[in-house]
Amino acid sequence: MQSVFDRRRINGPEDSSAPIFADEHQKSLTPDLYKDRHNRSVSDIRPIFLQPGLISQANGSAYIETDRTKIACSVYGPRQSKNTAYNEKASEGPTSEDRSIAVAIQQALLSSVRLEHFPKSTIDIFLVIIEADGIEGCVASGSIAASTALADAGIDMYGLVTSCTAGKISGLIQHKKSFSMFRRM
Amino acid sequence: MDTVLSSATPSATDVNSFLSAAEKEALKAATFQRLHPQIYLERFLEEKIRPDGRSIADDENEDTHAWRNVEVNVGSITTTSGSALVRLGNTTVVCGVKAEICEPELDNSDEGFLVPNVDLPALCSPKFKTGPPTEEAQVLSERLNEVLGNGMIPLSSLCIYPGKSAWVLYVDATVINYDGNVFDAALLAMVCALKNVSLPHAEFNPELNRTICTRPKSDSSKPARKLIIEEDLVPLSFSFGVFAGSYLLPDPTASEESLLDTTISIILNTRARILALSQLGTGVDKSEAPGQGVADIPHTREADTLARCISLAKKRQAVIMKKVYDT
Repeated sequence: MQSVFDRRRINGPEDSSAPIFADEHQKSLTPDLYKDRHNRSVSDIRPIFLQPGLISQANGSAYIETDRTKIACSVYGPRQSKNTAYNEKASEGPTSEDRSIAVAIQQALLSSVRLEHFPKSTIDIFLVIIEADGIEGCVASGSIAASTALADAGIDMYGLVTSCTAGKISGLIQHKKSFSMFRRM
Repeated sequence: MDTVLSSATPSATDVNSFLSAAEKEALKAATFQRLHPQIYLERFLEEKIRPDGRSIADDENEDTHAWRNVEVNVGSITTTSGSALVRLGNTTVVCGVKAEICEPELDNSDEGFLVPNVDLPALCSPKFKTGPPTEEAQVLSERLNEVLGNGMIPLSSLCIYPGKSAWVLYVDATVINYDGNVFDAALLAMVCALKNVSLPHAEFNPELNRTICTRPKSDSSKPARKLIIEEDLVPLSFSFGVFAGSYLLPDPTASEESLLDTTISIILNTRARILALSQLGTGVDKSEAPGQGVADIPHTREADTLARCISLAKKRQAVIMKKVYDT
């Protein structure tokens, strides 16, 4: 990856790249569906570990782990908004590469939170993706973590949000897929 | 009892009617802490105890409870070459090491690179916002870079082919929960992550001008290897806060940290020898007379405080060594 010199961080060499492995071209092109899915049937999902309350500094938090996806989420709020105009529509998150994940999660959560109870306030939801196994997995796990963190913070909601990804391979619908399988679709 | 049924929006007095006596006391204490944090801490220290229940280390033999519980977990992040998660009480830091290939610098053609960085995201504490690294993050990264760059990983061991190819290790720590003493936690996480790193076998091909690696376990004649580590230079940090010029608080929490005037860090190696000392802040009250707080603590002079910090750090080091080498 080409690293831009950032004076706010410790910088490495100008240019570095991920290691190239000798057997890259030899990897099988046909998907090994059964090995990836660890003996799960088509409609099974991976086991989930979900724990609220791990981040003591936040108003509410949740940590979710599903196989290789690990996401920590914390909720701060309701906090006073910078612009005090009454705003029913939640404002947008920070600009970053993974803004698409943030937008997707926000859309999932928006209808579940009773924002009318928090005029002129902002509820901040921050997620740190510690390990990712595909973008879709991040959106799914992130939504669950965010909803749990909101509940842990005591924010008024209509209900909890749950989420799952599914994909179609050769006409078969499979649930909770991993990144390597998406590459082969 | 009527108040429960009558009003649609609860008023302040209604809230109190829901709380038990113990909860009301807790609310009063929390309010006092918000309004007068300094006096709140002083009241605890006068009773030889800290707000989170730990004792003050005023007698060298009774320091076992002065430090928070440490938990270390390595190797759980599969997308990295090495990883570690460290919990120091509530302070949680996760660190991952990414190994990439690059060209060495012209004047250090047989050396690789070690690039540590700490990230303080908005998630870990209400005092941080999203955006570029804050001053605190930059200072932390710089301090960690100094300590790790001391020779723990000989950079020549990261060379693959002099002048052409070398490893660069990006050591990225992210703080998940900021409850004080992030420097100690981040350093421990980085050290454990580096110990966990497994580098694939790499060969530079001069004809193709490319470095080719071998997947671990695919070829037994080209196995993956652990990093070469100079054990005598492996750093472990032990930080102390000085409050009101006279109280010494090992391993400060976030609420204590904001009230400290000085932080002293003792960095020891695996044999409990001193690698580095650092002091940030105005220093210890040098006078022999008691400080402005109630000073029941005997030693308030600078040299004595430093000596006490060093001896407490050495005692604690034995405990941490078991955690680091048992994982």
